[in-house]
Amino acid sequence: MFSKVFSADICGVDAYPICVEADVSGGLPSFNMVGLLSSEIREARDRVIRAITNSQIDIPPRRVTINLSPASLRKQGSGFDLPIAVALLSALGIINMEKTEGRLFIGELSLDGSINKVNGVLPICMMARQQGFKSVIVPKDNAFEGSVVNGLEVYSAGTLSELIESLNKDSLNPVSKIDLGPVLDRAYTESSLDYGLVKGQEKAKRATMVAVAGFHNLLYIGAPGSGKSMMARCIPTILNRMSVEECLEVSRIYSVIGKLKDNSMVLHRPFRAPHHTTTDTALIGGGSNPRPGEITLAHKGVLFLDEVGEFKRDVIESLRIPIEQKSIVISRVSRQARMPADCMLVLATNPCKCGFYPDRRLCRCTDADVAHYMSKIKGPIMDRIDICAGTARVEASRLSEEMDGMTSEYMRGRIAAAQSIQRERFRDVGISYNSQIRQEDIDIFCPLKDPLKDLLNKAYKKFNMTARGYYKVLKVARTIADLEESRDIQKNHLLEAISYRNIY
Amino acid sequence: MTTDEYWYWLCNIENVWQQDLDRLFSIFDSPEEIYKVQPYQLKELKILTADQIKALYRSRNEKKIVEKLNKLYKEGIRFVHKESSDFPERLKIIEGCPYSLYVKGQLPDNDRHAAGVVGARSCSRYGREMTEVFTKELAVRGVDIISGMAHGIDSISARAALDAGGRTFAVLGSGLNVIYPRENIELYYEIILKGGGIISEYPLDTPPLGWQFPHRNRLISGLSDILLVMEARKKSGTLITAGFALDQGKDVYALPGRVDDPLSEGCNKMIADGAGVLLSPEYLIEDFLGRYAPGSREKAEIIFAEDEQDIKVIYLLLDRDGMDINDIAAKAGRPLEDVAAALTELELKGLTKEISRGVYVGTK
Ligand SMILES: [Zn+2]
Repeated sequence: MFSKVFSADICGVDAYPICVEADVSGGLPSFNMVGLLSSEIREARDRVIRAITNSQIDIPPRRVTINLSPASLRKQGSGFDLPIAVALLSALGIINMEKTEGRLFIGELSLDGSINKVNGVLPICMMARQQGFKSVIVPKDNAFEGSVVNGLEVYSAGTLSELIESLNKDSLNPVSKIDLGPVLDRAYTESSLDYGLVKGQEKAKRATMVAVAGFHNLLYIGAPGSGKSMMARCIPTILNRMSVEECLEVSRIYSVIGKLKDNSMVLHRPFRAPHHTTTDTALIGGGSNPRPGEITLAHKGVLFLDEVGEFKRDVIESLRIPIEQKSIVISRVSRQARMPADCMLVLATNPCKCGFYPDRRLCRCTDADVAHYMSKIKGPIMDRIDICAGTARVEASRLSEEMDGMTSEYMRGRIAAAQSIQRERFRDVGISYNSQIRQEDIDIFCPLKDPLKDLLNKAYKKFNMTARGYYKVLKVARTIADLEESRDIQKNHLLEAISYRNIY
Repeated sequence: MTTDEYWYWLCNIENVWQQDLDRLFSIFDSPEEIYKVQPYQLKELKILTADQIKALYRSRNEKKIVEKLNKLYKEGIRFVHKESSDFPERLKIIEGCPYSLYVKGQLPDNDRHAAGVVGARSCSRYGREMTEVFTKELAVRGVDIISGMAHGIDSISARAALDAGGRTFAVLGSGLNVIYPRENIELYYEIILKGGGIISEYPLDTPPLGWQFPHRNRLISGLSDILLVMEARKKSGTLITAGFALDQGKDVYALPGRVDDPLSEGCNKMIADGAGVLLSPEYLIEDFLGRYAPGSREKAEIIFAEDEQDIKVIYLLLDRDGMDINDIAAKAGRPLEDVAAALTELELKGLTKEISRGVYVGTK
């Protein structure tokens, strides 16, 4: 007898349908698996056989062939135990074949027949909905991931014998749906971080507000302990609330690496701060079975590189293309993984080796030392930075529990207003933020009156700006004008934008 | 006992005054040493009278000392002595620097500009109005206002500084808990609440004795960079303060008045003798804050256009060491985005240089 059921595999952070076929025929008893399988999947054979026999079902001594297709794709997932078992059982007539039609099965089996949790259930459910599957059967412990995908029936099962019975009797255990909207609303307002608690950094806060408003990448320069990482950590508190779609988009990434908390999605925009000893694979993703890197884990959130000068140069340079393209493509022999990487890049650096330049009481670095230190972060990654903000060294007395200066709530309000102006402006252009304005469109979106053109030209010469730097100033000035709800770029907007120019 | 406790003990011995301490410290290095010295040794030195030595030994009660100091802290009073890290730097260099201070609220920052404002207790309307105008002009630029919280000019300037959103400090001629004059009790607490402080060199409960007032005036000028004399009669306590200020090397400015007004006699005489003239608030700001910025002479020659007054104010705040833009904005009392724009404009004019991100020095 022959049967086939559907399952799925993950490549990068995307799921693909995989067809699992089982053929049971006469001949010498054997159990073969084919279809470009990883060694992990080959081991499924023993687990499936033990799980079935331990569920009090006898497998007659026949010749069994399992095929996973399409054959061209290398399969690596851990969720094929269950579909293999289901395919085999329906080929043996133990499961009514009709009951598996249009369904997608995913799960790992224990030797005792219980169905274990696997990674990547969320993207698999999302793919199943998109591909028009009738329903998906997931392990009981993954039920929550099925509960958030609307327009798809999801059933959960705890053991193989339970699943066999409920399939045959049409008594599958449905996973009830959850509305993420209110959950996200609640999560959005509860954060222990707030810019109101960051003292004496109004300039850095202002720069951060401008950066977030126009989605400009940002660099903080300041002494150790001047609150650079605190500034960065607070950025998610002024980003807008994740939409349900964004939440799913981000959560599926964490589902793939098994980092979703039990019965929860990723409800806050991610903030990732990899250490400077990190490798390029860890940063942008990779491996023979491509896994998402930090830049993908920061998707729809913030990727923060503290002490950016301490990162290995090639590690930093590996970021350039993904930051620009907002995604990363990793090619392997049999397939290609495209992973999203749409995040705000935030860097931080000390101003010099000891960190205290230009404080003459503490810093003994020579000009050459300072120049050398700065040269470490020069290069292509700095081209992606629109705003350089300084953080002030703040005396301990100024740190207190009271709110001071701009609070996150206030900044959020200003940013939201500026972003809605941008949305309106770019409605027909296919971009969302000022930072995305293409060079050839600069004159259309960032026009300057003649006296301001002269001013910018003067600054261009005076500060040895690059052409790229010139355009960055214009885009940032556009964002400042939007924050001030001004139709035209005014002189002060331009001057402030110049003050954020790259000094490296 | 801790260093603080030894100091507290030494500064609170009955009838042992500053000059006695001066003499003791010519021989001993620390309060602890004095605490541990034997009575016969002290007698031999002939520094203190027999009564003083008796008082000194009677007061050596560790439990009581610790208790009393703790009581101070509980009342929100800080005891600051010459070895404390927060003892005002400006005072350390004046003649007759006190060995200790009692503080409620804050002490003036060492690196912030401060101006003393003194004058007659019974002042004229002219004196009152001018005090308000000049004080406010300084206070909005982040200059700390130091006064004595006495009737008249002192209280008016303290009030004006607070109303302008500035900080002010009062140096009392009595113990911190003796609020004199009584009707200033509201002012007293408002000064503390708005980030300033009340300061006295006298132990708690010290009554406001006449001789202590001119004496404390040396601290008013000592804590200030400049002293403003608003109205003063001939031979008044105010003129004594002005004398201290000159001895301490501070610049003194006097408010000119009418020739036939006895309340202006002191000030006019000072002007004749070469004191700075309070011509106008703008003049004072330029003269005082301008001078602390680099190259004031050339600066005076830089002509800012009529519509460039905004950036001129920022320029006058700059110094040669480098100031953080957050501090510049705080001193200017202006929003950061405006200050950032002003600094960029100054930089384009070559009047400032950003030596590290957000840190600006004045050039020229
Ligand atoms: Zn250094």
